[in-house]
Amino acid sequence: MKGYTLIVAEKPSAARRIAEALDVKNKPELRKDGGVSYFVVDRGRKIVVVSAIGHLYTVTQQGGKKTRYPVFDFTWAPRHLVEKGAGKVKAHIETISKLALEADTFIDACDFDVEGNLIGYNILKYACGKAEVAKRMKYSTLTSSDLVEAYENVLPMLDFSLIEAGRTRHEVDWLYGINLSRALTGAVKHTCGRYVSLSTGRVQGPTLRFLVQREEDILCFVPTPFWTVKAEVEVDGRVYEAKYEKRTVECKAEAVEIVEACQGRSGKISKVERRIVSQSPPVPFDLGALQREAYRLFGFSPKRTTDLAEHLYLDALISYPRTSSQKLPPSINYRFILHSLAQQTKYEKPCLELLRLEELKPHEGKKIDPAHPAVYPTGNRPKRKLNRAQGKLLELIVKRFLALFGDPARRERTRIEIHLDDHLFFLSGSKVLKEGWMKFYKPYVHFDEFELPSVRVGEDVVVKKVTFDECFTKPPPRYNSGSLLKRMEEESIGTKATRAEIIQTLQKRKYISAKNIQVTTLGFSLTEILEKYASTIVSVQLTRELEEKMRSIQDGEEERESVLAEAISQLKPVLAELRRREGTVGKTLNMAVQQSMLEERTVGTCSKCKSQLMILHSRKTGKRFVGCTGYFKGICKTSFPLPQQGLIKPNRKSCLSCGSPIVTLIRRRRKPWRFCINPNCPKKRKREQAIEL
Amino acid sequence: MNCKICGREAEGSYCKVHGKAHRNLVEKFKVWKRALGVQWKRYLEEVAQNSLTGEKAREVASFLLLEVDDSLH
Ligand SMILES: [Zn+2]
Ligand SMILES: [Zn+2]
Ligand SMILES: [Zn+2]
Repeated sequence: MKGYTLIVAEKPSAARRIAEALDVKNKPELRKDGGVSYFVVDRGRKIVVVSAIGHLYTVTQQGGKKTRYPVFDFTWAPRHLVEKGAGKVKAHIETISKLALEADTFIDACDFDVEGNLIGYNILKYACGKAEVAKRMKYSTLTSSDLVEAYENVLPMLDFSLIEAGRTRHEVDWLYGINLSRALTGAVKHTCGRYVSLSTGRVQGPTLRFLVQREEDILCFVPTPFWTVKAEVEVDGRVYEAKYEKRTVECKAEAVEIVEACQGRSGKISKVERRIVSQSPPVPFDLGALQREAYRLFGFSPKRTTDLAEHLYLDALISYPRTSSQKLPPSINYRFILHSLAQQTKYEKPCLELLRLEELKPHEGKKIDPAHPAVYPTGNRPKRKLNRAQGKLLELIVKRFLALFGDPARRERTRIEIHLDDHLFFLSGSKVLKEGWMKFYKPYVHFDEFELPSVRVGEDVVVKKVTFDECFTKPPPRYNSGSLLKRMEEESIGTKATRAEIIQTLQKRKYISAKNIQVTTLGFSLTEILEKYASTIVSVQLTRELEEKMRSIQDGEEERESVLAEAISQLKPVLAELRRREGTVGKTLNMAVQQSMLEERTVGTCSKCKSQLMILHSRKTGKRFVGCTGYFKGICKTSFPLPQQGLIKPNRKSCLSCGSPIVTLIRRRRKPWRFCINPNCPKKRKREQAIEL
Repeated sequence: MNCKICGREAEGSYCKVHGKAHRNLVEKFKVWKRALGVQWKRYLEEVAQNSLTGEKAREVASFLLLEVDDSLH
């Protein structure tokens, strides 16, 4: 085999789709080399399609000891030489290098974004030596028609400014990550002689700080009282609750006064106001909006949504999901997509309804992305059975797409004002006049309709009673992964492709709890240390500025070298300060680590002696169990058995039936299992059955 | 100086977080006084037992209650 075009795809499944699309018979020949698959395609001319498995190259230190810091010399190297468990990378690089020897044309067909461009570039540069002459296929879906078009209209060269931006981002992140991790880990090692792996990153620091600030607001919250006054009024034999004109009354005496003044009075309708409000359809999904909506509706974490969307994209069911665009150009062919979707029974009716429209024009948002349109369904029917979560996400994307073409929804809002002497109360209601786009977006949107009686001004109403309620202000809510993602977007830190990952990393490093994003003792201490001795690292503004500079590289307005120099000049004084304070930093962090380890083992309080119940290991058998720490004081012998396999995590909740602590058992490839540790719990059997369901 | 409540490093009487909780307590007393006409001690008692009060604010309120009690003797 000689003189062919070598196409490099980002992932094996993408390589297969490209090969199938380009082969004249759609039946490319599958070959293997050292365990790596590639495809030989006949398209008049011979084409070989091979894939990477994400990044094959990574940034690493150039020479020197692996614990020293600061370290500013780096190089790019094959991932298997740097990371453990990247064994497959070696085989891929070898196969690609071999295939490159006989090829005469090179095409990068990795995903068209910062990461994809960098993956393709590194392969073409280091494994093929052809980055300068390689061409670029640009597409937004993996459907055959889009792939053929991308091949026929291949771009003459790689997008070097996007590559430069990606390279710089990886290098800057490496500089921050490696130096800070070594400084923190080293501080504990040198001060306390213990090895604990501690790390933080360029975007992780400020993100964790948002969480710490919110947690502090909650911890320091002082509620204040206020009162609400309401009147029960009867109209046409039905009782309605009218609100007082001042929604909150800040003084109890005033609330008492209002209620007393209104007692025994009759009401008169003084005004009826009707207002028609129109609500435009939503805008197309960019990745952030999709992640937030999937969290709101299904509780999926941003990372999970990204992974699910990636699957749907590789199955050619949706367009490329890592986009920040809220636009859908006509070139994606709305009618064709609606026609295709109409082939599926569940979408037939709404699609046909939209296809009857003379003009199809999606409601669009403001954000643009030069590389890709917003997320949209391709109209393809799933060829394999999707799992439940994939199915849910696809349906959400389809319905959002349909809703874009709907008319604005119209509602009528009514406000009825009732005077009780000098005091004004009001009723408010709402009625849907026209469903418009909402019809297409059900069940993801619904409106609380509340219809009010038809009344005239001057009419008398019976007042049944007037009362007040005492209320308290509430602490601000904890962030959830949806609202945290939004905050990161608003503050312009991280990128659409990395934000979800950062939240997950914070969980993996035990700086926040996995479930409700609560900052751990370790997370608090780390932030405190960084705020004190390395404030530039957690500064949102500096993080954002650096982020903007990296983006400017993409537009050719900033140079990689100057951004790197700036990152290093930010890091240098911080690292020097951390070294100078090594003693304090090490001691504080070591204490926090120990505290966190203790917290992880504490499952609750003993009902008999109020000491802590902890996960312990038997000295004799090595088996684990939950034991009361009162045992060590000689006052209590309470203990509970535990399963020996899997990871046990305290739940910080008590069993509703017997009051014993609840723990979660996490096992590979199984759903997490929550259970009450009391084997004699009266509801045990029932619950086990419920959990199995 | 160490924090009067948790013993951590402090500027003044409290560490960073307890200091913030203390400032909140002082600030919100005005609102409570206007709303209910309560005195300092009664206010601290109310806040200490309100389930919406944050943990650190509760710690400071309870601590201040001890001081109030001491000053009465
Ligand atoms: Zn006990
Ligand atoms: Zn139980
Ligand atoms: Zn304190």
